[in-house]
Amino acid sequence: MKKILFLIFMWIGFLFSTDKIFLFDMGSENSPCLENFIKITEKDMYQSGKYGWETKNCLSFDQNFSEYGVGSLDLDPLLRDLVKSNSSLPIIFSVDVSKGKYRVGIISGQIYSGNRLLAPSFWYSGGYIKLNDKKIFEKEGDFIKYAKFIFSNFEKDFLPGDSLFKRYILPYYNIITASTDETEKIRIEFSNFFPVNGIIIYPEEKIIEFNRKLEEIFENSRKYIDEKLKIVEEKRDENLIKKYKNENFLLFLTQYYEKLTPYSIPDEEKINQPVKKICAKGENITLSFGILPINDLKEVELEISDLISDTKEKISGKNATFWITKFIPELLRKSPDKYMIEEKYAIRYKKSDFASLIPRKILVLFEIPEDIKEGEYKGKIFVKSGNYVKELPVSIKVLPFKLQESDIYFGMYGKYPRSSLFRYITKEDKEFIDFCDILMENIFKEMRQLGFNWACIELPWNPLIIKGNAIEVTPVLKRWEAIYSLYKKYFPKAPFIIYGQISPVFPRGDVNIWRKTGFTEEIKNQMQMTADWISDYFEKEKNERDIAIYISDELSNYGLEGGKFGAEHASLIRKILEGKNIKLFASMNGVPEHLMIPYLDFSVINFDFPITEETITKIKDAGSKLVFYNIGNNRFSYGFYIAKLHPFGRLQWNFGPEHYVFYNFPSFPTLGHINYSLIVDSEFNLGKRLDVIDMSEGVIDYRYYLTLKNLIDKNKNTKNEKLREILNKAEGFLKYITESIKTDIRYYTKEASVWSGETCEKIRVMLTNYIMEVLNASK
Amino acid sequence: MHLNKFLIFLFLFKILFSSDFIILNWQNIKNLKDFSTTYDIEIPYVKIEDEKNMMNEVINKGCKIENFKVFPIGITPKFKSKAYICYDSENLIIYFESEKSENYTLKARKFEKEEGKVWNDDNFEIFIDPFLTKTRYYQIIINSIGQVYDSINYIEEIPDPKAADPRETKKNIIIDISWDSKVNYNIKVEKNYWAVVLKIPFLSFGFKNAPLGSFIGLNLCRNYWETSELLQWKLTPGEGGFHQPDKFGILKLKETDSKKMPLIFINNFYPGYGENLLYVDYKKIENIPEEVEVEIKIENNDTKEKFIKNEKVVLKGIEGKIKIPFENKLKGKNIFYYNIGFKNYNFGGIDFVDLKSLIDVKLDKQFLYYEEKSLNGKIRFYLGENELKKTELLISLNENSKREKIKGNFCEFKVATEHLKEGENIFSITLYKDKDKIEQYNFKIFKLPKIF
Repeated sequence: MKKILFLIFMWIGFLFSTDKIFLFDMGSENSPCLENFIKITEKDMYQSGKYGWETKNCLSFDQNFSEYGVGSLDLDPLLRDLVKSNSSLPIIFSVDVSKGKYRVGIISGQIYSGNRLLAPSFWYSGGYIKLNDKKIFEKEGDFIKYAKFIFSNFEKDFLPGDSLFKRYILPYYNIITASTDETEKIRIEFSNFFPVNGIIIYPEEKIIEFNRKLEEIFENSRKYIDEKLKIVEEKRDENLIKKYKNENFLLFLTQYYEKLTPYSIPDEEKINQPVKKICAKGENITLSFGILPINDLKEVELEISDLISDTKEKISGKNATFWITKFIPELLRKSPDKYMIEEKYAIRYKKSDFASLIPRKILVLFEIPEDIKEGEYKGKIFVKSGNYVKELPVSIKVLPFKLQESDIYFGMYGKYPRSSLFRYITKEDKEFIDFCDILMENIFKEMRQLGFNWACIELPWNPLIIKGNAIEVTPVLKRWEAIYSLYKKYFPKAPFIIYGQISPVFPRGDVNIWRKTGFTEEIKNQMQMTADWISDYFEKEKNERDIAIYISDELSNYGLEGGKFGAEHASLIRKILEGKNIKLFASMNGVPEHLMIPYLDFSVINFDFPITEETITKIKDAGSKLVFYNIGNNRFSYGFYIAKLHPFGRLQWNFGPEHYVFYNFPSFPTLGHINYSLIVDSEFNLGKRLDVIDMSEGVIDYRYYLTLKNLIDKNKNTKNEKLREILNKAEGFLKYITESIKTDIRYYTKEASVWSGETCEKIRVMLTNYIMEVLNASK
Repeated sequence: MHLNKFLIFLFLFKILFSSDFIILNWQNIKNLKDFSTTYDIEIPYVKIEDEKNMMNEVINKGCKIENFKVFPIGITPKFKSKAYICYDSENLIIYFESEKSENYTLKARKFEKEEGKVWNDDNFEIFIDPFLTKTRYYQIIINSIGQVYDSINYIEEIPDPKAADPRETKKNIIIDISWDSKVNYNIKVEKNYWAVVLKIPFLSFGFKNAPLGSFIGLNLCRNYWETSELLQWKLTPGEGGFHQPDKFGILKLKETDSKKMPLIFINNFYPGYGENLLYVDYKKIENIPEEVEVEIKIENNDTKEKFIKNEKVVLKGIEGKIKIPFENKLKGKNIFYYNIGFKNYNFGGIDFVDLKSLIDVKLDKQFLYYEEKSLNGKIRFYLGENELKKTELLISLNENSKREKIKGNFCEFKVATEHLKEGENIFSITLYKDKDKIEQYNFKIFKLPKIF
C-alpha cells in the first residue's frame, strides 16, 4: 500500500513539476493550430491556475491570402494567424506555472494587414514587449528606417537554391527570447500593434530543448513554403564553361531586351564582342553587356574610359552610369505551384560579389551631348575583380543630326508616392512630406529623362470638402500645389490631368448610387460648387496648357449600364463646366463607353474599346483628342504602332508606385508581381524597370520615324533626281512599315514576337540609313 | 558552340554545292491524345427496374460521392450533401441530396424563360465534360420545383480588358443556352433534406448510347442560400469560380460482365481542310467480325454549319486499324466529333481545329543585320492528310525558287541570306493543287546596311 501511495505522490509530483512546457499557438477560431500546441484565440481569458488573456481588447486575425485576392499562397499554422490589441492599449497574456525559472520564446510578426492597400501597422510602428514587467524587446517607429528596409528588397537577388521563406517571410517575424526570475506566474505584456503568433515556455534548465524547439518551429515554417513551391530549373550547356574553366569570368554581348536567367549561357560568338550603338546627337542611349563568372567573384568593379573619335573629339566616360539587373522569383500563372527566376529591373551598380555561373546583365546608360561632332567614338569598359581585369571595346557612332522633338504626348500614369507606399502613415511632419515630395520630383525627372513628355499622376484625394453650402480647403491642397509646380518644371507644355477625387462628390460618380437615385439636385449643386472652385483655381493656368479633369475610369467593367451612367455623368459635367475652359478626360475600355465620346475632350481608349478605324473616326469626328492607354508595356506600342495611327497621346499604367502594398516591392505572396512598381533602392534612388526602358526606346523609334518623315515632306518638291529617287524609296519603306501594322492591337496578343525589341532596333537602323541618304543627297 | 559553327559550315557548304538556297525539314505532327488518364470514380451500370423507385435504386446501387466542401476555402459545411451516380444504356443517372434546416423554406422560383437566374435559388448544379476537353462542358442547374437551366459552355483566353497589356489574358466563358439536356428528374423535399434524381440522356452529348470507353469530366455543386454555403465535390477556387473544367473530377463507366468492351483509339491525325482520313485502332474481346457505325460530324463553331458522314464498317480480326476518308469544306473554328457505335455502347472523340487559312507561315525575322547569314521559319499546314498528298509547295527568294511535294503537316526551314541584296528582297510561299495555285504568301526581307 505504501508503495502505491508513493507512486501516486510521485505521479502527482511529476504532473506539477517545473518540467512543464507550454506551447501556445495564437490565432482565430477557424484558423488551424500547429500540432501539439494549445490554441489561443482572443476569447481565451485568463483564469487562476491556468493561462489566457488578462485584457479584453484582443483581436484575432488569420492571414489567409487567398481570401483577400492577393494570391493563393498561405503560411504555416503558427505564422499565418495571430492575436493583437484592437485599441491603443496593450494586451497581456499570463500563465500560472509551478515555482521556478523559465525560458520564454515569443514569435511576433505579421505579413498582411487584411487590406490590399495597407502594410500592417506593425511594420512601421514602435512598441515593446514586457516579461513580468521587465522590457525584453523594444522596436523603434522610425519611418526612414522602415522605408529603407522595404526598398532594400529591390537590391537583393533571388538565385537558385535560395529560400523563399528566408527571403520573403522571415524578415517580417521577430523571435524574442528571455528568461524569468524565479516565479509562479509568467505575465507578458504587448504594446498595441504587436502581433502574437506563438509563445513557448520551458523550464530554464531545459534551454537546449527550448532552442531546439524554436529551430524546429522555423524549419517547419520554412518547409511549408519552400516545399510547396518549386523552381522551374533550366538545363545549362556546360561545354562553354568547361572550355573557359581557366578564366575567372567571361564578358559577352547582350541586349537589354534579351532574356537572361540564372541558367543562361551566352553563345560563344557573343563572347568578347564589342558593344556598339548608333545614335543621334543629344540622344540618351542604353548599352548593355553580360558577365559570366566562372568562379565566385569578389568586389567586382566596373569602369569606362572616355570615348575618343578619329578626330580626337571626346565623349567623357563620366556621361555613363552602370546598372545591374536583379533576379526575382515569379510565379507561373498557369502552374501557380511553380516559379521561375527572371530579371525585371535594374538598380545602380555598386561594387558587388557575384556567384559563379550566374550570368549578370549590366546596362550602361549614356547621355550623348547635343553639341558633339559626328563620328565613331571608341573606348573601353573595364571589369575588375581583385587583380583580374578584362576589357570590352565600346563604339558609339554619333550621327550628324538631332532627332525631331515628338509631336505626340508620350507618358505614363503614376502616383504621388504617399498615396500608396505610405498611405497608412498619418503624420504630417516635414521629414515625411519632404521625403514624398523628393520622391515625386525624382519620378518626374526620371520620366523626362526617359524621353516622356507627359504624365498622368494620381493626386492625393479631396483637397476640398463640402460643408453645407460652403467649400473648405483641406491640407491636401498643399500637396496638389507642390505636385503641380514640379509637373510644370518637367512637363512645361503638356496637358495637366486632374486625376483623383477633387471633393467627395466630384468628379467621379458612383454607378451603384446613380442606379438608385440618379444625380440628385443636392449632388449636382455640390458638383457645381467644386467645378467652379477648381476652374477659378486654374484660371491663369488654363491659358498656358490644357487643364483636364479625369472624370471616369473603365466604366465598361459595369457593362452597358456603365456606359449609360458614363454618358449621363459626362454630359452633366460638360454642362457644369460650360464656358470654363476645363477639359474632360476619361479612360475607356469597352463598347458601352462609346456613348461618352460626344462629351469628351480626351477620349482615352485601350485595346478593348476597341481600337479600330471605325472607333478612331468616331472620336476624331466628335472633335475629341485620341489617346491610347494600356495597349502594352513594350517598345512597339510606343513606337511604330503610334507612327501608324498618330494619336494625340499615349499613356500606360503604371510608372509607379502601385496601389496595393505587396505590388510595390518583391514580396510574398505576390511573388514577382512588380509590373507596375516604382523601383527604389535603400538610398531612395530610382531604379530602371526593363519594360519602361523598352517603352522609352519606342518613343525614340517614333522620333526617328518622324525625323525621316519630316525630311521627306521638306524635300518633296525637289528637282534633284537622285534625291527624288531616295525620297521615293524612303517613303515606300515608311508606308510598308505602317501598312504592315494592324490597327486593332489585339492581333498582337498572339503575334507579339513579330514586333520584338530586335525588330524595332533593326527598323531604326533602316530609318537611320534613309535619313543619312536623304541628308547626303540633299547637300 | 563548335557544333553550331560546324552546322553553319555544313549548311553553307550544302548551299554552295547544291545551289539550294533553302533547307526544308519535314515533320508530321501527330494528334496524340492522352490515354493514361486516371479517374476518381468508376460508376456502375444499373438497370432501373421501377421508375417510381428510381431514387432508392440509385442510392442502393450507385457509386457514392460525399465529403463535399465549402467553396472556395474547403472547410466542412454546416449542411452537408451527398450524391450517388450510375448509368444505364442510355442515361447518366445522378442522385443528389442536401441537408436543410427544418424551418427553412427552400428558395425556388418559376421562370418565364431560361436565363440562369435559377442559380440564385437553392439548387443543385452539375457540370459535365463528356469528352474531357477541359474547355467545353455542359452545365445543368435544377431548383426544388424542377426549374432547369442547361447550357453548353466554352472557355477561351481573351485579352483582359482590365489589364495594362493585351498580352495579359483572362478566361472568358461563352455560354450557349440553346442546348437542351432533355433531362428527366424526380424531386423530393423533406423537413431536413431535399433531393433530386436526374436522368441525363447520353444522346444529349452526341453519344448514341453509353460511352463506355470514355473518361468524363464531372463536378457536382450545391448552392444553399440560408447559410450561403456553396458546396463542391471537386473544389475549384480561383479565377473562373465553378467554371474550371480542368479541376473537375473524372469518372469512368464501369464495364459489366455482359458488356466487356473492346479497346478503341481514335488517334494520330490532325483534321484539316479538304480530304481527310480518320484512323481507328481496335482490339476486340472476341475474334468474330463486328459491324460498327462510324459517324463523323463537323460543326463550324461560328456559323453552326454542319457536315455529317455515316459509314458502316466491319471490324475483322481481334485487332486492327481502319481508315475512313472524309472531306471537310468548312473553314474557321471547327469542332470534329467522332462516334464509333457498337451495338450497346459507344466510343467518342472530339477535336477543335481553327482553320483560319490553309497554311500558317512564321519567319523568325524580316530584318537582317548585314552580318546575319540565315533566317529560320516554319510552316504549319492545315490540310487533311489526303489533301496534303495532292499539294505542292513552291518557295522562292528573289530569283531563286524551289518546288517540292509536301511531305508532312509541318515544315521547318532555314534560308541562306548571305547573298541577299541590301534593302528589299521578296520571299514567297505558294501552294499548288493539281497545278492550280491555291494560296500564296509574300514577305519582304530587308537586309540592313553595314553600320560599323
